[in-house]
Amino acid sequence: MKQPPVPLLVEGKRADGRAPDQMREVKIEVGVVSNADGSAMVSYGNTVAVAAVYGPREMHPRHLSLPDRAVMRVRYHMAPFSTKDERKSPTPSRREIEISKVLREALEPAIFLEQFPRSRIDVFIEIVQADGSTRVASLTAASLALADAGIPMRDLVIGVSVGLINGVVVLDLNGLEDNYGEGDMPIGYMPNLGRFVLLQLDGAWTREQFAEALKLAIKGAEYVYGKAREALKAKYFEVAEEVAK
Amino acid sequence: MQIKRKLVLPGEEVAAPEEYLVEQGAYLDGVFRASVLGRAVYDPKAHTAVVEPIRGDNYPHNGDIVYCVVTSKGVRALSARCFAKESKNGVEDLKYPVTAYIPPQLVDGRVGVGDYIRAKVVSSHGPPFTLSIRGPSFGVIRAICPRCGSAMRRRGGQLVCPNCGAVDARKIAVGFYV
Repeated sequence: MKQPPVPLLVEGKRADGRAPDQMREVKIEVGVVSNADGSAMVSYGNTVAVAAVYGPREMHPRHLSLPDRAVMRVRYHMAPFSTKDERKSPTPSRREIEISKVLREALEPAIFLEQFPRSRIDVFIEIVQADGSTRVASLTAASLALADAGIPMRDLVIGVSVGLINGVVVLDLNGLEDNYGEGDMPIGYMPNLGRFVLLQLDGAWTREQFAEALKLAIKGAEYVYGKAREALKAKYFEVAEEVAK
Repeated sequence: MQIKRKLVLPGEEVAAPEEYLVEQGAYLDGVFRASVLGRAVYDPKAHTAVVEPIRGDNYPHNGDIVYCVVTSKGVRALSARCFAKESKNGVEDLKYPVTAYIPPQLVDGRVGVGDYIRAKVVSSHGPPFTLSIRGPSFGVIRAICPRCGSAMRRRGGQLVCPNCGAVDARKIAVGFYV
């Protein structure tokens, strides 16, 4: 096993000074890409993801369209300047293609795709800065961008990651913890419906650790959901003011 | 009783089905939940509510009135490209134009290639949408001269080309011809 450059957990404090159940600073902004139908920028600490949604629009080529629902296309991409060490090749890697598929499958249950047969919805996600938990930050950004685009959804999807460090379950992994931790569990959660739409896992977890991780993920997702709500209200401030009267 | 409003996000509870019937912008999952980001407007007298979306999807749906240009005329149908739709706030451009066709049984009069039409979406199966120009307020809103391509003017019950003098007839959308 690789040795981390600094201890990941010392006396209940993580390398960046957080408690195990503490999220990094979460910043959310909606409507950041003016050309897109909906967009959002989400940052979990130093991880920054920008998502832009285009559509619904007619599916081309037409033979790829589905007669009963819209086709959703998700492109997750890390910018060449997003990584700390060497420049990341802009070519879509195996990992990026896989994450694009995973995100699409996590977002699909949240969207009323059946309202747009033979159409498509395109979601482009760009990781501007990567420091762990990029796929969950992307998931939150994509779901907010979809809501901003006015696409009918069952619920917002909030992504959070949970990990295992020295046998302790921790919330919201950063890059260091992601690379040197014992386990990693990205989770997609619909907070109003209380349903999970994404659950991946690596490492060896006990049943108790898994249950604790889910509880922690829900806690983290509810915190992020609060921030997402504030961000949407801030964007539609005038409407919020009008309904408050 | 006063009409109540609140800002809702997708998935948030709008009302209990025992209390309100939510007619738009919501779905039933035990309780009515918002499906779009919008304002929930409650009418306590009628026990109804609607979620008015802040941003619509800007896409034609069944029953919408759309504006299109006829792109080709075949034996089986007319093909058209829709570029705008009517909404509460007037006519708004579609960000992404969509293709549509009008079967002969829904044409109900003459329409030429290049004409701009006002039509109703009568299908719910997505693009190409099926349109209908049956009814007095649907049909051609701007006709193109089949001989020279100029916009034709209305004169009595006919259309006359101000450029070449050609006379033609169209199924005009009453009150909408420009």
